[in-house]
Amino acid sequence: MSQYKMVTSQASELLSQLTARWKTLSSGTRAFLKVGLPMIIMVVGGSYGLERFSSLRYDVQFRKRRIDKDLEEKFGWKKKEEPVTLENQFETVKKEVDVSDWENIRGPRPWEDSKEFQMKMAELRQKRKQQAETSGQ
Amino acid sequence: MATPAQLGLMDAASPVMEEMIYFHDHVMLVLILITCLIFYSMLVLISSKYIYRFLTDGHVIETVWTVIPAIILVVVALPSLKLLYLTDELDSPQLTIKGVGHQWYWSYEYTDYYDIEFDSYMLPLGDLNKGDARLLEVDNRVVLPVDTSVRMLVTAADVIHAWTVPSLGLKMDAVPGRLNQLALQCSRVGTFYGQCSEICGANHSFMPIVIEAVPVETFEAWCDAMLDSE
Repeated sequence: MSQYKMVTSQASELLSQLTARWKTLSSGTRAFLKVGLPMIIMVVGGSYGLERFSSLRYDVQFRKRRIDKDLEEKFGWKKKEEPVTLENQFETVKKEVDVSDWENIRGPRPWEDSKEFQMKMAELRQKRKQQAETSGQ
Repeated sequence: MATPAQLGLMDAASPVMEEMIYFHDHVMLVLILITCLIFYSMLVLISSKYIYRFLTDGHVIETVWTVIPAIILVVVALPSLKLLYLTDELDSPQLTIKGVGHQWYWSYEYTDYYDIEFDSYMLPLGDLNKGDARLLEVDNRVVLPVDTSVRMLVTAADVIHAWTVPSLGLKMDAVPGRLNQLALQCSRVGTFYGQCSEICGANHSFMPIVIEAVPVETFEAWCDAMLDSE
């Protein structure tokens, strides 16, 4: 019991010395060690810590199966020479859609059949698209 | 599909949605604990007969009720960050499908191997079969092979739409003149429904999305049928 008391009293003395030393660090240029350095460590270290989360998308692959092999080997399908990428699809979209030329499509009235009306509008748009293509050519 | 009067999330059909459900349960637990604590504190304070006239400040308790919420926020933020990066793009999509929103239907293009294009209109009430979902069924579904990472490119031809499938944890705005990318993966065979999620006109509620996840042989047969019909 007396040994336990001795150890705890030494520990509390050490703790009070460290606390006193920590308090003296707040004066003058040593404020950098108490405030500045922890902040820099947190900011820089935080980005290293975040790397642990951001690498998840590369580490985690839920399924290892490759369907393109199945399609190519079993069914004889061949991928196009020019692969489908975000960039070339975007170029296609830019050509197809003219965002400055937009017409307001009238919706079906309550007494009109929605699908028939939409089919009519789709036919009209198709005609206009063909006319635009022929006039463009 | 959601059942009538359903309150909770739909069953997950993709790994990402499973993680979202876990995260939702985790955060819901934290919120319920906090709410119960607050209600208990309110009850105790209201029903207490004691008054302390000389209460001016409480430095210790103020420190405690600042530090503990900060810790709670960290406990919520860490899984949230993990999920955020998990929903980011996969780096090896095996199939690319382009979905274009129109007023008021979706059109899809499969152009990796052959050019398969079709429109997907909502089935009107008169064309539904017994057991079909009202306002959710379409004439041509998006058929995908199961267990495959698919890249969904979403855009629109007129106004802004949004392509959504809650069971797969997917939602992306379809903006005219812009191409948005989604990583899609169905981990089980089935039919998954969604609806347009951005107001786009009179029939905004009547342009649903249906995904059918099938084995690769069925997908191949479907592609052949679509090519023959074209």
